Amino acid sequence: MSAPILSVRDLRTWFYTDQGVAKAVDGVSFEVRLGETLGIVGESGCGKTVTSLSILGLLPQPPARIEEGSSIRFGGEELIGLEANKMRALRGNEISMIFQEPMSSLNPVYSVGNQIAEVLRLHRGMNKKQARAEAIRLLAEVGIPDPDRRVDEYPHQLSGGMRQRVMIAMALSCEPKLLIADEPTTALDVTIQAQILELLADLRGRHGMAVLLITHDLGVVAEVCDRVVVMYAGQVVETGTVYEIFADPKHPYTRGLLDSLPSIDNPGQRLTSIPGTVPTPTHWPAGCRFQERCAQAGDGCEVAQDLVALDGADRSARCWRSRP
Amino acid sequence: MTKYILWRLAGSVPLVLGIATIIFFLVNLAPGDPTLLLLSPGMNQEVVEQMRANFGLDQPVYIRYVKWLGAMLTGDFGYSFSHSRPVLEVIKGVLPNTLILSAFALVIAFVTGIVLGTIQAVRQYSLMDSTMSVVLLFFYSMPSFWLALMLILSLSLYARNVWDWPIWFPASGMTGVDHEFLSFAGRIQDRVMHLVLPTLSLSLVLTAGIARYMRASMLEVVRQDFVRTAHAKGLPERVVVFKHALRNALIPIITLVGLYIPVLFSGTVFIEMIFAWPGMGRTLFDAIFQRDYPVVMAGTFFFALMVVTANLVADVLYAVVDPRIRYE
Repeated sequence: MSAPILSVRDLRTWFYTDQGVAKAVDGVSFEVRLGETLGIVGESGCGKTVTSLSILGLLPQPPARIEEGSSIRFGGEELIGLEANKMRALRGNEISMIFQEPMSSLNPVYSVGNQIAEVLRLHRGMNKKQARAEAIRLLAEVGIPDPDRRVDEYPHQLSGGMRQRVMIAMALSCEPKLLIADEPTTALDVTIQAQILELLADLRGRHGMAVLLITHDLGVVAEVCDRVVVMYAGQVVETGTVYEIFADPKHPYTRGLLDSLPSIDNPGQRLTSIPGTVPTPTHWPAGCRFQERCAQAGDGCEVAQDLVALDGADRSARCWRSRP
Repeated sequence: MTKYILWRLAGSVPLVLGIATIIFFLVNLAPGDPTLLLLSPGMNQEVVEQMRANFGLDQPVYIRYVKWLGAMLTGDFGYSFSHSRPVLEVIKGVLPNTLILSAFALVIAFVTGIVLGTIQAVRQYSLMDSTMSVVLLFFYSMPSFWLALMLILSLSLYARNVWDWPIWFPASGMTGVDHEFLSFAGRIQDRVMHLVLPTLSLSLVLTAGIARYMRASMLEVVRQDFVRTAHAKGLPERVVVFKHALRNALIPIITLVGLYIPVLFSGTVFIEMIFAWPGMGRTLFDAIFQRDYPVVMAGTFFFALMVVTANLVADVLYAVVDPRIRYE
């Protein structure tokens, strides 16, 4: 087991709104180790994107606030409360991020070469010519054909998959130690999804960076992740290796997620689904936050549950029924 | 890019011809006749008919239209009844004055409007933002002729006679009476001083409107994903705002160039009257009352031409700022 590059402890990111305090992320802990891919899985609104934006300090404050006692350590340095200029020096350099929507994540009025070169000039101190040459090399590395020509094109001239490749090239330009990928394939066609995932896995191997992959797609998790953190209602409900999570889910929510995947073994069978929706973050239910939607809810669920360590390294679940 | 400009240029030819046609019929079908002003009481009817024939007014309107259009296309705008000079000469004398006035007003309005709107958006909900909103709303609501009178009252009359300010601005004309006797630098200064009040009166209303649009546009853009990407790259706030957000926020503002130019030109008619500015607006205004058809038609035509040109410039600016338009 290698050393953690990123360690998040008891992260609580709350939003102070007119409707009350939205506890979007409410006590989340996990760590990402050198060279591994950690997946954060959960439905929309479970707090996974807010978690990733909190790491880079990209949330507008106010309304967001990272509460006292939260800690995000990156390579031994505390990121919460870090001076703005030190934080900027990390962003795009040591920690990079790619986003869900390649359509809108690139600036429409600048050429892709300009947008990649910008990062190189900022963090690497390259001049215009060097940055352009490096941008072309990066475009080639992420598998864009004819990079000499593409470097001068604008985002609207590229397909969605190409744009996501440009985003990846931009994120990789300074050889980051950690890449945060927030639903990188959600907006893409299935065939393109596979290509992008393959590219990410390939680049991770070549550059030895750690990847924090945020997704709601368990298929993606199975394909690329080493370990998984399952989130529900602003909390971590289960952790484990990919094998453990898929083979033996301990939390009813994880089980529900797995059951709602179509299976090749039982074609034609109706898919099961988890009833209801994620509760609103201003009013999390008391006790276990999943009990309203849980098929096995019973006595004992009205008490708030702790994340309990189980057999196996990094194995834990937030359900009293799963206690050893 | 060149193809795009040529295409737009070709498109404006029928537009200009259409405008010329409408102007001609509007003016010629209106009641009244330039000869009416030249008549003396008790004049012989035959003399009146002769006078109408001399001006070509005895011919049917469609014949006059064809002749007028044909002459205009060769650059002949006819002869001014009231100035007793060729119309083109009259226009040549006053057009540059109006262009100077409106160009200054336009540039000042857009530069200050964009800067103020950006500052407001970056400091949204701050005291400065709300103060500026109130002040700008005030100027936005005021008619420019009233502003002109208030500016004359304060910055010219009171500043000089009551408050004894070291600096005050002349309230009429383009130059002072001693202009001919000044040094070169003195002449420039004289011209600039005379420009201040009319330019301010024209541009304040526009500035306020542009700033309001700019604030809204900027607030819209800073919420976009690519601004978050720019932050995630580690770029300083300054670069995020001025490189990534500003250029995108400018796209809707360019529409205003085309929209505000007609407002500006109609504004010059009032402002030139108030400040005794020898420009197109005032000449046109006088020509209407003197039933000087050729000047009215030519003046209106030139105004229309400038509006068409301004819209053309706006279209080209679009293409410069937004690559998505350039390649269509």
